[in-house]
Amino acid sequence: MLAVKNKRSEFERQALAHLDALFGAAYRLTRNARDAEDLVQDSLLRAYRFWDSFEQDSNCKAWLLRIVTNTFINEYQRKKRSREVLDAATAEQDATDGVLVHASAGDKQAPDQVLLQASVSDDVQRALQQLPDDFRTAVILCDMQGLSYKEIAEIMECPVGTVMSRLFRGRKLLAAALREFAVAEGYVKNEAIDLQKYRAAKAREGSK
Amino acid sequence: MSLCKSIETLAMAYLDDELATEERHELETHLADCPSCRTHLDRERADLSMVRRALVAPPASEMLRARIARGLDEAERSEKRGRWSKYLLPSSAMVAAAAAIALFVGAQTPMTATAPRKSSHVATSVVSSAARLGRRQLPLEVQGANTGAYLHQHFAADIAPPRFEESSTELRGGRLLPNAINGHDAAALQYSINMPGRAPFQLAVLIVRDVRGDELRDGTPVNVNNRTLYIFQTDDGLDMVSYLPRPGIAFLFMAPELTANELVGLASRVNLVSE
Repeated sequence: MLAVKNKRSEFERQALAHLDALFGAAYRLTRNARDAEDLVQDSLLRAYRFWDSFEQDSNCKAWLLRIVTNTFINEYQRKKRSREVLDAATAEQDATDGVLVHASAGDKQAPDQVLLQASVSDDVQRALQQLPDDFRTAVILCDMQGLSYKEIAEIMECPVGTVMSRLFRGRKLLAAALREFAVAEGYVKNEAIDLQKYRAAKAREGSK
Repeated sequence: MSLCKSIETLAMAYLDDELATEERHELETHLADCPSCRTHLDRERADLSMVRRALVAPPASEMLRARIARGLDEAERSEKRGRWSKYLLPSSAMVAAAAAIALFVGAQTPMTATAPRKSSHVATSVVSSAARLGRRQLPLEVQGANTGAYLHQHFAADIAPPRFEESSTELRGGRLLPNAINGHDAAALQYSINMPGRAPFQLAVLIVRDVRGDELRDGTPVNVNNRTLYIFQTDDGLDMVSYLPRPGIAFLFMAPELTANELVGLASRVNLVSE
C-alpha cells in the first residue's frame, strides 16, 4: 500500500505551529537564547523521528513540551554542568543574545525601550536561576504554556499534588526574586514602605 | 468546614481554573463574606499576574526556523536513503551507461501502436510500477540535445523533454519504457542537478502516455502556479510528484535527494510546452 499521507507536511502543520511556544519554554528553561535554540531544534527533530508514536487526538503541544522537558533534563543539564568552566564567556554571550533577541522582537520600539526590556528580561532569567529545576519547570509549563495540573503531572511524571506544591513554591520564590530585583534596579522604590522612616519624618515635621 | 483554613490551596486552584464548578461556587460564596480570604486571593492574583508577565519570552528567530527546516530536510533524506539506494536510475550506473551509450531498444520496438488498456487501473499500480521500474538499472538510449528529437520520433510527436527554469538543471538523456507503467508506454528522462552547497544529484522524470486521470489523481493534491500537482509516497518512502498537463499525459518527478516540497517547486514551474 502507498502511504499517501505526507509525514513532513503533517508535522509542519501540527508541530511547527507551536514553535514560538516551544522556544519560549526552552528560553526560560535554559535561560539563554543560544541553548534554547539548540534545545528546540534537538527536540523537534526527535519529535519528527517519533511522529508515528504521537496519538493524533491528543494535545500536540503537551506532547512536544514533554519532549523539550525530557531533552532538557537528560542532555542540557549535564552539558551545562560540564561547561561551567566556560561560564564567564557564556554570560557575556548571553547578555548579547538577550539584547539581540529583544531588538529583533520589538524593532518598532525606541532603542532605550529595547534596552530596558533586555535588562528586565535579564532579571527574569536571574530570578529563574534561583529556582530548583522542578519548580521552574512546573511554573513554565503552567504559567507560560497554560497546561493543566494533570498535563504537567504527566510530563513531570509525578502526582498532581506534587505539581501543585512545586507550582506554589516556585511562584512564591519567583515573585520574591522578581520584587527583589525590581527594588535593586530601582523599578520599585522601597523607601516609602519604611514605617520607622515615616515616623521619624513625621516627628521632624512636628518639631518644626 | 470553614474554607479559611484551606484558602491557599483553594485560591491557587481557583486562579488556575482547576476547581470543579461546585467548589468554585462554594469559594465565591465564601469570598463574598470573608474579607481576609478576599485579600489573600487578590494578593495571589497580583503575584500570579506579575509572574506570568515576567515569563513572556521572545518568539523563535527566523534563523531557528531555517535551522529546523534544514534539519527536517536532512532527516527526511536519511529516512529515505537506505531505501532509496536501490531506486530509479542509480547515478553511477547511469553515468557508466551514458558514457557507453547502450542499445537502442526503443528503435527496435517503436511504441507507435497503442495496446488495449486494462479496465481496472488504479493510481497505486501506476505509482508502484513507476517505483518498481527504478529498482532496475536502465541504460540511457539517447543523450543530451538529441533527447528531444528522439522522443518526438519514437514516443510522442507532441511531447518535448521538460525544461526546468533552474539553470542548474541539465538534461542528460533518456530511454523508452514500452508497456512499462501499468501497461502504459513511458519515457524516462534523467537530469542532473547542481545546486549551490549541495552535491550534484539526479532527477528522474517519467512521462506516461495514455494514462487516465483517475489513475494518478488520488495522491495528495496541491495547487501551485495554477497547476494541480499530486504528491505520492510509496511505502518504501519514495516521494513522487505527478502533473497531468492534459488528458492522457502524466509527468512523474522523482529524486531521492529532494523532498516532496522541493519536487512540487520544480514541477510547478517546469516548462512542458512542445517545441
